[in-house]
Amino acid sequence: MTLHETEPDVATVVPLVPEGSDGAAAPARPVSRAAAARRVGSFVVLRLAAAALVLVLVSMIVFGLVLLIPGDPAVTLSGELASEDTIAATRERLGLDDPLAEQYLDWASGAVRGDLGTSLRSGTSVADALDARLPATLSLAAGGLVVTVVLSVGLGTLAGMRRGTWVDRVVTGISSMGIAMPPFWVALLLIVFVADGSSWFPSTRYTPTTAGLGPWFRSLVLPSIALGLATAGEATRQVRGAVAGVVDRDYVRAARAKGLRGTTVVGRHVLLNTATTIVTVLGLQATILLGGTVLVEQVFNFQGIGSYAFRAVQDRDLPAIQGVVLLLAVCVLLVNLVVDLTTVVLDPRRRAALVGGRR
Amino acid sequence: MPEPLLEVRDLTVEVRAGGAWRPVVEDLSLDIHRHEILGLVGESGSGKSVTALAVMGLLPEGRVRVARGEARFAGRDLLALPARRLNAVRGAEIAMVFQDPLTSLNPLLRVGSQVAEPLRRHRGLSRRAAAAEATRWLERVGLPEPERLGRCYPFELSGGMRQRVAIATALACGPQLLLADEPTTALDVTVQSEILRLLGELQAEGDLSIVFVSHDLAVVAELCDRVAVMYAGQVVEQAPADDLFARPRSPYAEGLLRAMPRLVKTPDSYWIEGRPPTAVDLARLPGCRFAPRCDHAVPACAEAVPPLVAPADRDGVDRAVRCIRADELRLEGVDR
Amino acid sequence: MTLTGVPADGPAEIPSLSSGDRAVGPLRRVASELWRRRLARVSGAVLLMMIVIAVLAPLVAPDDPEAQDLGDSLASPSWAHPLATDQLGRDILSRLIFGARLSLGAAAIAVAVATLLGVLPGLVAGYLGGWVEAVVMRITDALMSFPPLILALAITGVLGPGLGNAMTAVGVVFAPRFVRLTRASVIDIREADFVHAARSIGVAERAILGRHVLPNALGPLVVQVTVTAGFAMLAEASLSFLGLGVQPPEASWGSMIGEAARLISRTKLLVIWPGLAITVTVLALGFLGDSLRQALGLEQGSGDDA
Repeated sequence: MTLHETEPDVATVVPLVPEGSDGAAAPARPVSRAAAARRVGSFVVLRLAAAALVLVLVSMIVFGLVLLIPGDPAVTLSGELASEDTIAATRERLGLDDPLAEQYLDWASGAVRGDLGTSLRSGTSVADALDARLPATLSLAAGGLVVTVVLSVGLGTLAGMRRGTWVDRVVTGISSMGIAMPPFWVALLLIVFVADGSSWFPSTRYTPTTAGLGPWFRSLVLPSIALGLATAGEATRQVRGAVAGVVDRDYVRAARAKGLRGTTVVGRHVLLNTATTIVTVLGLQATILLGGTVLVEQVFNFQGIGSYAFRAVQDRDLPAIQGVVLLLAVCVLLVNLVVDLTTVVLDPRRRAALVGGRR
Repeated sequence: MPEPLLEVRDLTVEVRAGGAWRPVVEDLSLDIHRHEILGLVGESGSGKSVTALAVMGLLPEGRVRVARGEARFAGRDLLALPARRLNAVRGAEIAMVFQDPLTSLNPLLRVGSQVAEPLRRHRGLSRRAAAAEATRWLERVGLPEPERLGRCYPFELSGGMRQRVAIATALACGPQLLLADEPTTALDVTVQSEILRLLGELQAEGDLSIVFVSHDLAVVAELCDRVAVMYAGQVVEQAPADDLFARPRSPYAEGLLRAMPRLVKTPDSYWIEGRPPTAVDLARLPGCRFAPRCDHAVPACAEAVPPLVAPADRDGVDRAVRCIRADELRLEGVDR
Repeated sequence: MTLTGVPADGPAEIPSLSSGDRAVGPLRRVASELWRRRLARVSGAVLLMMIVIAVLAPLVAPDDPEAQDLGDSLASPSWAHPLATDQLGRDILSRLIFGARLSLGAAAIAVAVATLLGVLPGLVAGYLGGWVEAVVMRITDALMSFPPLILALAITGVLGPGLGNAMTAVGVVFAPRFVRLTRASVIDIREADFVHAARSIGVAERAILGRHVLPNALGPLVVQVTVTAGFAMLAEASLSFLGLGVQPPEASWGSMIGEAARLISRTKLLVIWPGLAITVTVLALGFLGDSLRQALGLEQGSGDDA
């Protein structure tokens, strides 16, 4: 229920034009478009490079899972009833005899090409299986994100603007409860008390869009709620904090002094200045959402990546486990990258600092 | 005398401190007339900014409240207006400029659009018309290349330029009253006089009154027609600027004048001993609030709070003093 | 006091209260601040009650949690079994009480692992800086790039099912947050004036770390521990629900929900109680963390998210 580092906001920024000069500042030399483009380009490249570095470390960690297997990996992975032949076959398939570095490079180079190996249990391509299951999980994650955004921005803004009142306390209480309720429990409760006997919301199974938008949507409602509730709770608290921090700022008071309507004040002045924080928070919660799919897909019997991960773990299917974990980590890195770039774009001060020079 | 533009009567603002509501502004009464610049002077904590915020209905909710009083503006009591009606008045008929132009402008919006905002809100102008009018105002407050500057963000401008933008924003809809809360305090000295000059010009040109809140007497001396001096939440003296500076009638005002740094350095600089009473201290001060620090205090001063009255020998000048010894004391002023 | 040149207070000039001057130790101050808040008292009491029940489980529980009575399976709530029985006739209430031991204990272990694994690298990284810091922080970043539950799932998967393995995995998953927190605290304090002062009079590095840096970093750390405990409980519940944590016949609240889920067609009630227990406990931990943060005067931004 805590917060990662919040974005520094207003008054710490040093103006680009030095103080002391009066209104008659000389018109600035504009930065050439080429130079600006170059700076932006190098910024993006740097960010990508940093992300790539982390990705390499991530891949090492994922690969390193094999080192955690107790005993002889080939024996453990083959299962209790395996024969000598099966064990040898497993050892062969996974290349467990090769030196570690070679194993890693083998696996990693395959992953880069989109080949995540073959499942120990089913013998099918891990990448293919994940590909087939992607739509279900993506829909679910998107649904969870929608729930999170709607609830957190709505309630968080409400509470932040009315800090200290009963509204604030109620919202804080509700969001705390949302965080405390295990997602799989919420999912079960929804099934038992809402879906049961209701024709409106089916209690199981993901319905792809090929079967029609209506059924697809309805199959997603309850699972999205179950998935999004916890992250909504946390995000609401962050949004509330950010809004509360901005609401007391001078420019909000100045906006009121201009006689602007309440909605204008909230929209243009309060929320605009919390946008970067909100985006960052949502990015963080997206990470948690991806993890939660494991639980929700189990309960709602979705055939998605989450349930695949669980089955892989149950079967101790190493390639499958590694494939899933790598895929999800890549998703997280992508989300972080998008959040990073978005926050720069949203703030004109950072845009200017990026491009450099004076306008 | 024509009716005042703004009449504040018995304004009392309380703050929640130490578990109780304590007054930071008490029974304050003020008049602002048309076409005049009134200086509202006092130390930090005297309640001058709170007064301005209270009139505009901008006091932070929850911890501060207006306990009683009224502020009559064009026939309406601002303090009693419902939010929606007050919003129609704010920005259009009464406007406010704040102390720190860096924080009082939205950092993420271009300057021009912030000036255009009240125009669109109160005059219903289209985006293009409002932008054109905003550019005209930017020019009027002395900004070069107003069209290009209008597209800048606040952080790209200097402090002086930002404050000009803030003034343009405030005056865009042609209000009759401008409340300026320490508008030059955060600026360099050289820039200060530019802004003061600008305010003077704008006031002289149009049908505008200004309430200039400041702790800096020198600044007030430069600009204001009349001055009201506040101490510990009350007005202690009120007079035309010339008269106040030439001959103050309250010991506190005299102290302020003497403490002003002058261009000609005197060997011993002066300051008033002690500090203003806090909200909690006030509960234990039944009499004149300045008495503990006053050079001219007598035992009678501590008995009751002196009323704000006109001194006996005011020579037809509109003055008021809150001091029981006002008539006997011969206090020294300064040359403006 | 000169008037001119004194910077104004800012727009809302609220006169300050005259402060009472009392030298109270920081620990006592924080404790009394905490005590003042009703939320802290209530949540603290709830947690204490949970812990006591867990510790005294054999004395508190009406029945043996593993005692089966197949004739009484899935009975309705009654005086003998206030929370009904499960499919093997075991008393739910007793199982819930004994489950507290595992749920609370597991969370505690996970938090301990996370703290141990996280604080040390964080201290080292923050204090030494340079390439050591860079390496540690990159690894931390990499670990935080996994959705927490997925990583815990994977680690448990390869280690093998079991509560110990699961809690180790959870500890590893939460360790990076402690690394970040500790490093940030160290950097904050290392640059503080009083550390410069100490160093300038020749105090040894290790002493500086122990006597100056660590105590000041303790505040956010305690908050983080409280918050992480809550998330660790949820993680253990999730893993046990999936069958990867606690193994039968032992039961934690999470695994009880898992069992109840399989019986959902036959009885709806069993799902409620363990979930409620988890929710209440995590809620209490969360509120306690909030109160601690307030009492320590930290803003919402302190500590890493979990």
